[in-house]
Amino acid sequence: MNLHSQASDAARSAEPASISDAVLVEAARRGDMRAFERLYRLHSGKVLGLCLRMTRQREIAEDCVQQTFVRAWRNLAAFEGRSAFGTWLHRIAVNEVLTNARNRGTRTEGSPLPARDDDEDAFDNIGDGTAAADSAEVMDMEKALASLPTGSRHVVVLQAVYGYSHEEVAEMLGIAVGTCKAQLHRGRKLLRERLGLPELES
Amino acid sequence: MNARSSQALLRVTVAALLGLCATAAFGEAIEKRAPADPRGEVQIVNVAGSVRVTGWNRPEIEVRGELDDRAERLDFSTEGNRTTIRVVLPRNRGSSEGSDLVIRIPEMSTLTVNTVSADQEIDGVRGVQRLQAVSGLIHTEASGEDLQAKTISGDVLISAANNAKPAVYTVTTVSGDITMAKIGGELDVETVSGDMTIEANELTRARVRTTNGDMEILTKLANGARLDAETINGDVRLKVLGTVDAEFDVHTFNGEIESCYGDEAVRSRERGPGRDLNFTRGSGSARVRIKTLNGGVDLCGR
Amino acid sequence: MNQSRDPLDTLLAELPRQLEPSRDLWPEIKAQIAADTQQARTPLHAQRWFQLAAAVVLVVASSVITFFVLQHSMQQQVADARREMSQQMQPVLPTMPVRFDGHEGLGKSYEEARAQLDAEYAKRIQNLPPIVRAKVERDIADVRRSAREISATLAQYPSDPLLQDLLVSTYQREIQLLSEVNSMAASTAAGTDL
Repeated sequence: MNLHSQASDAARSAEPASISDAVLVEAARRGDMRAFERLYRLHSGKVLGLCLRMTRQREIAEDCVQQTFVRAWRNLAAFEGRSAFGTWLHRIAVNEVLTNARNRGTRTEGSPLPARDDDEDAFDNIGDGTAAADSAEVMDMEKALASLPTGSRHVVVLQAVYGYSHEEVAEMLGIAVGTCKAQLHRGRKLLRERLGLPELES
Repeated sequence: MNARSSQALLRVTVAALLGLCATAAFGEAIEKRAPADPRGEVQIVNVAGSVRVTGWNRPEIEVRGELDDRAERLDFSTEGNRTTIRVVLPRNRGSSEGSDLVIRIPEMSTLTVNTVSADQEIDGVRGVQRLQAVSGLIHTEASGEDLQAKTISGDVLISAANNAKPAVYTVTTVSGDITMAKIGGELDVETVSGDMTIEANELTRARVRTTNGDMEILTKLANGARLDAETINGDVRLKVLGTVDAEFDVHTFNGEIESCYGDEAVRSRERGPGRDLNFTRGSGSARVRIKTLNGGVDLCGR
Repeated sequence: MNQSRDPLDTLLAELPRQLEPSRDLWPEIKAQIAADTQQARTPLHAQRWFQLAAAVVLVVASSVITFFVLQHSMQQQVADARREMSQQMQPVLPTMPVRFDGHEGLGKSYEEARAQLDAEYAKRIQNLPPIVRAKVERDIADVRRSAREISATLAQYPSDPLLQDLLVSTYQREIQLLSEVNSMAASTAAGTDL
């Protein structure tokens, strides 16, 4: 089993049991705000993780989280349970990020190292309290991620961090699967360089 | 002194001043003339029957016609540069065929005509026109001065003389149909249920509104022109003539949008009604805005 | 099964999936959801844009009312109507929306103004010839029906700008219609003068 799918399993196993989600979603659909708050508590961390790494700016990312949940509430009737609720939230979040970027006319490609100031701020105090999260390596990784050009960064975050498949990522970002694979390849190559990791033997 | 006798006194005074005889016999043929300011005001009032006004290049006013046999009299008086021609009816006039008036006025006069069921036919008047009828028809020729026409159910037909300058046209009806041809300038046209057919040479500004009527507009748009069309249930047909240099902004709620310009309308929302079409031709100098609730919009014209 | 781990993947795997926001975002989310729901349920006349339109309209309607109150002779009325007509034709502010559903409204002075026009209309319309009168009543009914239709649609799509514009226009049309008909019908009243 290759490590990509290990990563995705790890990502997915952090999700709460889908059964409890289904019950909460049902209640929320009927207007139960407390059930929806519970869903928020369960999923907001991962939505922020996605938004922050895609947008690199904390304020924008937190805005994105809010908009994602507000939109999710509005569209609960449209959630059919075919995917996991968390995945559905992520789709909405990606949409928010992309729309927001379009509206702000953002076409910034990633900055070369060292990371920009606001990126540093964005990644201060991140983490979930685990030892790995606090390590300097993680800081470097977050910075390296943040320094990637937008296209590759989005793909790497969705695929390599959150474990979505090429097809899922392509669909969420509105790009072709081929482009997605190329962006991923490029992203990983750049990460290696910037983290000082040796190149893979081909 | 009561109203009647003070009126009588006034009549006598005026007549004395101008040498007019303002009496009339019932059902009588009329023929009167009086000098008039070439750029003065002429005010004509006739409830029923017909009013026909022609402009001429003499500094005088001529009134001919036939009074309804129930009419009391024709008032024809001048005060300063204003001449008033009025068919006076008794209080309980009942229904009557009405009086037919054929009037010639200095062509540069400012003309006001007020009728109820009497039709109005006007041509050759080159001054400002303010025409009002309740159910009567208004048919006039515009020649470059401001023109206002207002009816409830009467139709309004306006055509411009060949050499007419651009002017400001204000037309309102409730259910009367509005037809305008060869006009140019600024338009403000409103009806509730009347249909509107407007063929213009060139418009700089147009505001065209109806609730239930249909509208058809064929015109060139001047540089920087603004055209605003709005209906609730009526259809809109617009054909822009000549080189099209305009931005189009079309919104319907339940109607269809047909455009021959190549662009397709898009839905206003993912689920639910509403269509929008927004596109530009040329530099987008003019602006066309069309809004309708249930009507269809056809930008192909005839 | 072991494979040599690509150090990149190790580092990627160590990234936390969940991140903490700088503050609790839930209160704001909740507030925004509540505001959305409120907007959808707010009766038309209480919605902000509508009140703004109404305020603007009040000015125009008051001048229309004043016109009717002040006029004397029929001739004066005709002259005033002409002047008023040309003023009303300016493509400026929307005139006052009219309330059709009879509830608490857009403000007392607006309600009074419209009621006055309507009362005037009820009297004056008697003066019109029957056929004309029938057409007018049908057309006013059509305008009012349109306003109801648009209001009802707005309840479903509260922030639709097209619907908002058309509703204000329709209300404007009603006020203009009432005043036009009033002035024209008045001039046919006595029969002696126009």
